[in-house]
Amino acid sequence: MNDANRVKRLLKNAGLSLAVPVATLALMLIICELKGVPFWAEQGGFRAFLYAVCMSAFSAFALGLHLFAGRFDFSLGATAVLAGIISGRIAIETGMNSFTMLLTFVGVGAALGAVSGVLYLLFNLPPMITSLGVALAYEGLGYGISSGKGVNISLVPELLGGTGITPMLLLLGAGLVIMYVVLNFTRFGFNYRAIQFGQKIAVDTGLNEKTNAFVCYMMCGALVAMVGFLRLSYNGTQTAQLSLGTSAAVFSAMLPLFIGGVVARFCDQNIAIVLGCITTAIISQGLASIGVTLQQRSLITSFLMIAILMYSANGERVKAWLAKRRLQRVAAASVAA
Amino acid sequence: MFTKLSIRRALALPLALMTCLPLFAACSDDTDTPSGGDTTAPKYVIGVIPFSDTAAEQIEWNNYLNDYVAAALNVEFKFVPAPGTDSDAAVRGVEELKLAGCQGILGVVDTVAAIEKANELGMWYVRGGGLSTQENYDAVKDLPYYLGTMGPSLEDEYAAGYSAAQYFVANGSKDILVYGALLGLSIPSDMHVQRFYGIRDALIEAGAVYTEPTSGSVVLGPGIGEFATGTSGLNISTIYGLAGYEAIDPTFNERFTAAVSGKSFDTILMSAEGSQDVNTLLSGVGITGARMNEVGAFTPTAQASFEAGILQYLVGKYPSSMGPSVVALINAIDGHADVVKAADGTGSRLQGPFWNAGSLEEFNERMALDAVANPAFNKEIMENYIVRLHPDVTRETFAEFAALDYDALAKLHK
Amino acid sequence: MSAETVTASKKGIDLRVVMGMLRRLLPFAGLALLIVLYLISTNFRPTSLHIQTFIDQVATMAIMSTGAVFIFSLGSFDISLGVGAAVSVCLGIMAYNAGAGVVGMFLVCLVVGMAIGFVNSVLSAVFRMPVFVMTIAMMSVLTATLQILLGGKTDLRVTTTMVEPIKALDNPYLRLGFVLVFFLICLVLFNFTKMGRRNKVLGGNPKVAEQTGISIAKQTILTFLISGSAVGIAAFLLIARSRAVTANTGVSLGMDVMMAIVFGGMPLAGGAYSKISAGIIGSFSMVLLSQILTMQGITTGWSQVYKAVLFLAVVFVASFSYREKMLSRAEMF
Repeated sequence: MNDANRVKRLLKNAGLSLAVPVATLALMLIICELKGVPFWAEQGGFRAFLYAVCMSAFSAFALGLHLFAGRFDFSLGATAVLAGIISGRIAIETGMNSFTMLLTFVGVGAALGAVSGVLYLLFNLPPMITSLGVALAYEGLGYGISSGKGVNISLVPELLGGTGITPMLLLLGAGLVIMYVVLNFTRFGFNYRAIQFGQKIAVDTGLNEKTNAFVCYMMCGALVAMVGFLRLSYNGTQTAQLSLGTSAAVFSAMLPLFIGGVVARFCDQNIAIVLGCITTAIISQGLASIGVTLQQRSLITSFLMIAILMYSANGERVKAWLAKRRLQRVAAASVAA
Repeated sequence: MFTKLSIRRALALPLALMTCLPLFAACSDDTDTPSGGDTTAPKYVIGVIPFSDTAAEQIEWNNYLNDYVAAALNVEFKFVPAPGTDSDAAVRGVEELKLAGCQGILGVVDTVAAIEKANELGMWYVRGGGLSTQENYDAVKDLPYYLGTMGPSLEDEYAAGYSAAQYFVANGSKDILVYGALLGLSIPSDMHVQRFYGIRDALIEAGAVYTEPTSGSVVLGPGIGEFATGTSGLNISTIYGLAGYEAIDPTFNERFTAAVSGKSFDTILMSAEGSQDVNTLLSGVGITGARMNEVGAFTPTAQASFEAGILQYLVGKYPSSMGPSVVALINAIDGHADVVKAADGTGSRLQGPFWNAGSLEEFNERMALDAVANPAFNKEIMENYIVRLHPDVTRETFAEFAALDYDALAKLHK
Repeated sequence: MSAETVTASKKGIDLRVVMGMLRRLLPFAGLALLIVLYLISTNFRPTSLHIQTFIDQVATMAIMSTGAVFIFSLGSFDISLGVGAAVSVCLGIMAYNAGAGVVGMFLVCLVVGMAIGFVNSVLSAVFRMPVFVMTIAMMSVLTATLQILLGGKTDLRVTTTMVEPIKALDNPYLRLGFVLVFFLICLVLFNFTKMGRRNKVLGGNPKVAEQTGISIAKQTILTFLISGSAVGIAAFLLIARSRAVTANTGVSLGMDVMMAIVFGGMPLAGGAYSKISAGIIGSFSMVLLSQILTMQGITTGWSQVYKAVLFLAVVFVASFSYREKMLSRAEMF
């Protein structure tokens, strides 16, 4: 009986989780059909779609890891760019292939994240502030060490294999599995959640908050380095940026994160984030296919984000109000009777 | 008494002060101090407002200015961050250059407010690397400290796109992708628009039929329309946007993929540089072997594209093409602005042509003339048009100097 | 009681009071240091041009930062300030080109700035949306709105034939006047009125504020209206300076304001330690730093590294007045 209930609940949750991306896809397909345009291009369409999903998934993993711990990190974009420049140059100089370049990205990203974490721990300033300083420094470093040129691997075919469909699926799968295991089955994950839901209590019970934060920063560095890897492999180049131009890269991961937040009621948070990324990519693909302009697309996704935030912030209030209304009706009916 | 916290606090203020030390260590320019040069010549201080902090073209210009011109003509260059299209940032840049002691500004932007501020502060301003739009030029041409513009004209930009399209059509191109670059983005560029118009008109002359973009497909700027084969026998697709800049153009990949899906191309007609980026994107969808042009600059990146067989035709600026702009400023600072400005005292519009190359050999030949140690606009040639050294320089001869093309410069170097 | 304090109190000096005073003076010390470096860069002979340029550059940021202090004191931050200013500039120019005159243009800028602030405050106060992430969404909305208003052009300018009255406003003393008057008004509001005190209580502990009868909604709306008025005034000064708006106007202003306020010693968590002077001090510091770096010829990517190191050093020192034992974090949702 219990097993049956469990299976039933699992299926129900799985259905509800998938409902958001599936419903979004259905809506987009209908709109494309009405407009007489294909949802995505026959050749290369799925690859471009998968690329968008992977980019936003890794950004959202990193952003979410910080956000749910009460930290906002402006330096994620700069870390991705600097990791791209350093790892790309190492890969070219040492004759690496795509896989070894990927491993280099992980190492460099983790190291950059560790530096960011050390500064946060040393200074004990609000992470938004330290991340601004780190973003400025990483951008400047990326520009300085490449003399403003960034890195270009377009003419090194051995390094361009990372964004085929299979490699991207493998990368996304590996990222999801690692996040799932780390946050659900390791001490780090348990401690992370404890701090997330009660910092003072967690610290008072002896939890080492600083170690946890440091590991968090390293993980985030490695995750955004994947964004850098994907961008470099897909486009062949990574340009240096200055004047906090990279800080906006973080914002684009917020919509998938918020959609994931809604879906996370029915499944694991990491799976929910991936589903949120898929949903966002479906919206983006669909809007591009029907020829929606950039400003219109920006408006649509922004209003969507506001709607989701409104729902998240007020969903319980609305439910409570509806329940109260129902009780009032029942009370009125019984009085009338 | 000496806790960890008190030690950290005690160290904090000296640490903060020590971080200021690099400011003094880099007291002058933070590039290599030029050696040699004409130490009897007065020292000029010229500010530079770049169009980009990271574009290869701008980097090559900066290298030419810092590594050659600084020593050759005894000039100290000061740079500000690229302001993009932000007028306030451009005005700020002008003010900071004035405070840094600059006597003139070489701006690769033509923000009207910035030029007006330079005039107000008594700094000569020359717009290098290209010509302004008519509207921008009319707004500032009467300002006393405005020298004018120098570089390829909008007609040159149009011709660059036109000649590239003609070249490829004449050489057997059939399946063409027209890449409109900055058309239709929030940072549109008149240069890219003119180049696209050149490409468009060449294809129309070959028999293609062009339809203007409808309002629904226009993003910002003129956008890009559709081509039909007509009598040309050409299959032409179009795409606009910036690859790899998700913040500016987040849907580029989707639009690009939609534009190339199920097709094969033998030619990509570009209205900008970026042949390697586009080649990488095409390879990702299984399209290889396409021939490409670029309208950009003679840079190491372009050289690598030629060597890899990606690029077949290049029209662009070259590192020392900024030379005439520097000479214009030197003349103005020395009190001889009249040889630069138009006869009626307004800012001039001096043409400085592109170079072009239709093969790796031609590219290497061009670059050999513009070597780092002895660029096309070298000290000897430039000094011939500095009025302080050659009082016989006239407005006409200066205009001829600015318009020296590859063949003329090669002759002068012999 | 530590031995140090016992010894000190025997001598009649309370070290804790002295340390507290020193901490409060630290942001001013940072500014003083930058002034000294600036004087060194000008060979101790700053000219009227230096002063005028400084005022011209600092005015917009100082006004916006001072207004933003009110939001900061609630423990929130509005990252859409820069784009909000750009939209105000755009509508202000449109109004002026349509014949509204200088006063009309000013009123339009002010009303638009306050309207954007009002929308943000309603979303935050009534719909209880987390301010920071909500303003990220609003930033996209406002950016798209600006591009639609620009209607397919690179920029929108004050009509050439009507530009002279605007040029007359491009006056450092007028800017200084705006800064001083706005700062004085905010100083009185923040430190000497119930409104300011309520802000600090609300920032310090929202539950306590609610229990003491402070209306969170009303306070939030008032706060964003003040910040919105700062945006509107800054937009007016921007028009006087550049006489045009582009899609990239104000793009970095939001981050610059945030950095300026933090530079000025403002705790991000807001509350009782909030200082209205943080905006002014931080803006002055940032503009001085930028000018020092340019005068020294440090303008490549490495200058950003120097800026970052200096920023972290100054903020670290200035934060002694408000840091806590636990790692700093904020409620994002």
